[in-house]
Amino acid sequence: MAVSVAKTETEEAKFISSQLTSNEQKPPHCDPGETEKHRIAAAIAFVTIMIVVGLPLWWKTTEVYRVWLPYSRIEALNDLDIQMELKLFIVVSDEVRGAQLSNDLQKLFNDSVMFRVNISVENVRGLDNVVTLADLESKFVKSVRTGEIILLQVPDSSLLSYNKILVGPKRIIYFTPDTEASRLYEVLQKWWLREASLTRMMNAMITPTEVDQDVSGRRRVPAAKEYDILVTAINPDPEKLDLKWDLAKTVQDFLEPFLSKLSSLAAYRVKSQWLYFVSLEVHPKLVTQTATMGQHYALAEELLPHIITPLEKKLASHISQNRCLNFVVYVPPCSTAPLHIYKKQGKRAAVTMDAFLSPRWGGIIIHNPPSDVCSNGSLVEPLEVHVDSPAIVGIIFEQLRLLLGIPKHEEIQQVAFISGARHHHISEWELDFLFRVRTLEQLTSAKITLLSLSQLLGEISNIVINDDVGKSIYEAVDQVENVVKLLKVGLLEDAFTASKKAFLSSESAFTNPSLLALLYFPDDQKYAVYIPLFLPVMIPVFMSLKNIYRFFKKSKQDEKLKGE
Amino acid sequence: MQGEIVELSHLFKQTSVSDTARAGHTNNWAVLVDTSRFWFNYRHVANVLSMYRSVKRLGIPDSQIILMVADDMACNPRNPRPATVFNNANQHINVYGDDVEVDYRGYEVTVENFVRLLTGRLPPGTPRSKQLLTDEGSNVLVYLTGHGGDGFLKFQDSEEVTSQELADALEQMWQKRRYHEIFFMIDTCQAASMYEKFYSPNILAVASSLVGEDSLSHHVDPAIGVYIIDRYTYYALDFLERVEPDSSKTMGEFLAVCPKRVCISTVGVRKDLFRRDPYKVPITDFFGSLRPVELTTTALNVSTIPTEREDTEM
Repeated sequence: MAVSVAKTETEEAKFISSQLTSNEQKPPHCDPGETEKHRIAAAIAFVTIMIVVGLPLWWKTTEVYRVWLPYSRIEALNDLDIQMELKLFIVVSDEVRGAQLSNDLQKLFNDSVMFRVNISVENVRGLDNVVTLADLESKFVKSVRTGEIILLQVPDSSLLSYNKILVGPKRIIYFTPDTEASRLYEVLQKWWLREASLTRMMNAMITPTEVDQDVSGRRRVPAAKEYDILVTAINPDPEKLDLKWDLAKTVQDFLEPFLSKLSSLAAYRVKSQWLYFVSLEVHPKLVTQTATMGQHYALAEELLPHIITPLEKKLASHISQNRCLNFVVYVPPCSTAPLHIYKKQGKRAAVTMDAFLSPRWGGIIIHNPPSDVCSNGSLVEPLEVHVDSPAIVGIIFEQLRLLLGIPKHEEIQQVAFISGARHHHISEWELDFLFRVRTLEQLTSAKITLLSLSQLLGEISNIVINDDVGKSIYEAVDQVENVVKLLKVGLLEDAFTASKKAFLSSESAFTNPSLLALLYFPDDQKYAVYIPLFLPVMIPVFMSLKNIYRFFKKSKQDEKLKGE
Repeated sequence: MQGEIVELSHLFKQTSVSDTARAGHTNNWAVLVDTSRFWFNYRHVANVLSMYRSVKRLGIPDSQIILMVADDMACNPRNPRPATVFNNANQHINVYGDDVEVDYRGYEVTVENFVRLLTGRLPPGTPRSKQLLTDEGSNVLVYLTGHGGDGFLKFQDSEEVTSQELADALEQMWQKRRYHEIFFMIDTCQAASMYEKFYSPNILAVASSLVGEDSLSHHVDPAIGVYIIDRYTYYALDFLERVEPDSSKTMGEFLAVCPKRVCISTVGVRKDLFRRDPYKVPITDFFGSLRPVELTTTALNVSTIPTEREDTEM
């Protein structure tokens, strides 16, 4: 048949047809079978490069730099078991009594969730011969570390001024031979340990929508590395009153020793300033002379918040970034003096002072000029007023104690409390309480910061986690675990230091400026950019997959047929 | 010692404000943002400056107000009355005043700065006046105004913040306990879309218009030829001008300001995330700054000569 075709064609056609007729010399590019194979081979090459090589390459090169974080350790923080060990020394003269007290207290402390007590009893002789408490102390008391407590039995209640239990400025509780363990436990829980308050604080931090802080918690300034304390003296009319007060020296002599006792808790910067021509923007009511009191001006309790608001603008307490505690001393001029604060029910707030504080902010003291200076008509203005420094400082200390976290001690029957006037007004056990509350506060804050950070970084996958943030997080997690260990063995000061490190590390990790989600790359916009670029290219590649599959299926069938 | 018992209750006004030492906030902050620029958006600057003025008048100090204004209208060359911004054509009040303190001005008002401000992730050298140093007792008022759309708010005519980003930023504030309660006000078109994605607790939100509606401006000042204030803010201000720091008006009344017949758009409110009943919340909880107080009735006995030695005697 081919031959007959060749006879009718031209030379070229003859050449071509002769080519076609010979089986050995088929041109590869004209053979449909071979062409098909090469086409498929090309398609496979494309698919390999684009999908197998290209896709992982694109994924890797657009990956965000993220340091690996200890997510499991952070998750484990959810079930932190905080147990504090408390070392109690019982000093008695009678063995039986000592053993019984120890057993009773151990049983009572079994109910406590947070505290685990380690009691050791010491029987000493010669306890009955002492006459004063000072003797008692010097003979039988050894020094104790932060967080430890001594329970010392006195032979006679006359030494305790006829109270059953006496608490002084040191870590010692004195009690009479007939006091039961339950009374001791009550004093410990209500004044020294305050377990309910600590538990409530931690719960309020973890679930703020369900639990609120209690009164002392709302009053206490939040934990920080450094505080500013600003003492301001206001003289509203210096032409009428000349205040003779060395404010700088008062602050230095009184405040600095007080704060040095608290220096292990935080750093303090103390500043003082004078303000002139600043008045309280409220209008006190004039009260005419009565049988009991002379003419004076009354300031209602409801007006007190309105004093703070305009005053804040003038105090300039916002210069530094540290939290500032403000103490303002206001001396009214004789025309509006004496100024007294009245409670809601119309009674005077206190006889010897007119002062109030605002939780977490500071306090304001109204110091009236002496009545003899004001009523003396012969003196020429400006009237000289010598300010009663110790009285003012006493009020400032009281307010500062409350604001820094030392709570008010409620009354317990037959239990007396002697403050340590010469111990800078802070008892050692009050300091222990501050250590405990700050440790737990910083620990809980670090824990919730780490948990929320790990949740955030887990959810949003395109936030960069650089080395600094990673380091801070690891440090914070290490220190949190460290604090729990240290509290279990009762090393309170070390636990506090570790909790401070944990708190500061977790804060610096959370507020690191680099942790901003790639704002300009939200997921939906990312896909909106990539899809128009890559989809048109990938469609033929995916379509050719179908062809490749069909080709291989056909070639398998062909082989089968050939085989048969 | 009982002290002097003088019956003076007849002299004191019986207020209905509840005990200030309740478990509530201890301080107030305000974040006021205007996001649009150009002369024809004069009204947005007037909006935010009017809110600033109200909030300052009711007691929040400048150190606790973050004011972000994207463009300068007072010193704009097209302003025929330089150094003044009015929110009313009869020029009653110059809301620019003598003591305005703008914290973020001009091109510093960006989405990034706004989100950094809310979450607290500002670079280390940022001045204190540009930081939001709130804590868990702070009530924060957030006011946004500008041009918005369904799910976004336009910043500087070139970028936008989406409602999801805003919701995430507020959630991060909550996680870090940086607020006690937030009152979120927004006066833009389709404003309600911005608060729909919120999921953090203790947020009360009000918007000048619902999704699909435009917020309209109030009136034009023929002397300068631009609209001078928006309707919602105009009526909100009208309400606030009659509030004094010791007022007993409630947030519920504020939420009902600007009904549809004057605002034309419907005011949207979101209160499911807010624990309290708005009708029982005093307006000064968010717009004023009344700190709780406690009376001090005892003092420590301080000796005249301060001693520094540690005594072992009691």
